[in-house]
Amino acid sequence: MSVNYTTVQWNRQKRRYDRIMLGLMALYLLTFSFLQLFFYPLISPETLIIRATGTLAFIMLQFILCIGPMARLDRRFLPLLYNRRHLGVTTFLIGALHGVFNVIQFHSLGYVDPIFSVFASNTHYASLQDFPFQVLGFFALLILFLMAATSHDFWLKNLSPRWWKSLHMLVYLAYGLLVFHVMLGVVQLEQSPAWIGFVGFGLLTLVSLHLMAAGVEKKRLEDQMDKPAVGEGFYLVCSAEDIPENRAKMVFLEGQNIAVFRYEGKVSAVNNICRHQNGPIGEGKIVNGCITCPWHGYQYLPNNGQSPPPFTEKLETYDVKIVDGMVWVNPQPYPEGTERPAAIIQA
Amino acid sequence: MVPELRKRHRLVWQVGSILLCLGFVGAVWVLPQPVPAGQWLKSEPQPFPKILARKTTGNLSFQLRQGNESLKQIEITQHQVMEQAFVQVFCNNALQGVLGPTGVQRFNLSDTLSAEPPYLIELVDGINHKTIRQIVLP
Repeated sequence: MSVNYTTVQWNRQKRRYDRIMLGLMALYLLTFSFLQLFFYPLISPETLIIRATGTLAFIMLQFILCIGPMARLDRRFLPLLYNRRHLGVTTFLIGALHGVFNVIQFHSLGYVDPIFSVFASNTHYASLQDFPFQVLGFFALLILFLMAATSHDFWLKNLSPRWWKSLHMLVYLAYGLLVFHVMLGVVQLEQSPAWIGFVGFGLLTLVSLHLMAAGVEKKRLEDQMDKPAVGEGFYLVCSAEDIPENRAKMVFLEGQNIAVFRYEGKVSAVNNICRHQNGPIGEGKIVNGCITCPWHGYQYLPNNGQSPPPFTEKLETYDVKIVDGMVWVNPQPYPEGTERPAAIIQA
Repeated sequence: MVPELRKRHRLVWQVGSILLCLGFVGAVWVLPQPVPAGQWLKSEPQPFPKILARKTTGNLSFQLRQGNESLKQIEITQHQVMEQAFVQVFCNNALQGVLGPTGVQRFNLSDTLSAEPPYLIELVDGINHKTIRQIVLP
């Protein structure tokens, strides 16, 4: 989080994340190139680059799409989410390298425009077997470009988190296009079981993870739904003991998504939606007295929902009370950043 | 993430997983049969002992070989890497396989094909669907 826009807000975690990412990419490229040269000693450098970058970009996209559900199923994967956008932009760059080399190798020697050639060189659009698979890759790359170009917080702020998220959900379409780019491309041409296994395993893993995470989320949401109100608009949430120290219980009351935090013998409630990318505040924890969003580390004070100065983000707050060790919340929201007294947990 | 967005994610994956899996199976279903030779991790057939004909055109040499029981084999040697990335090999209009980047490749002809000389060998650019080389072996 920052007050002003900067190109990249570097910190120790991001540097470490990027170093590991670049190291693994280099390791993959070296291993892949070695194997290709071993099996195909006459392979040309252009073909080697096309194959290496194509497989790497596909693996990276597959991994990126696994991060979300993995983090929802197990909090230990949350650190992978933190700098996912660098991974995404790098995936686009690798994919772009693959695309550019393909256009140069297969479409730049004719008498028509190379991009036009991508669409016109094979016109078997009605055939599944002979489908012009390069077109699918072209559109997938276009989506990845749009996402990479709008990945900065400047665009997030100006498009609004809702529209930004919707735009970035196009990544699922890009993935689908790439699955068919591979299945109708190299798989039809080479028919290697290795390619089929490679795509099939990735597809199965990704679909399973997303469906499992969706099921878990649905159940979690049902558990958080309205509980009976008792007097003064307060709803019973749980026992204070049920909330771990510096963690939250999330509830959904009268259409309000609320995170109830326990810290330093007190309980406070704030809106559960981070102002940055609509991240689930309640899945985060309190670090140095501030609620910290698990997605990108945006911070808020639990008693008033305000980001610590000089930051300006604010959350709605709610009234909380504790009766006989039980936590009660009034889902009537106070304006963003309104100070509300925390409920004290009696020893 | 707001519940509405989560719901949209869930819907996308419920529908998307069905479409992706159907598409995957469909793509495997339409794979050309028989599975051609000359692929990754597939061993090259041993050369048939008798050479019946030999022709060279550009950077490619073709040999027609004969094995036991009159079975025939086409042997293609690449002296230079082809410009095209995916080159399909046809014999009398029947797909025999894909030309890989290795130097020598052999394609065993079926009983029926072996009994139908002469053999029209065509190399087709699999991406652009253009015939790039055509020779006849007697």
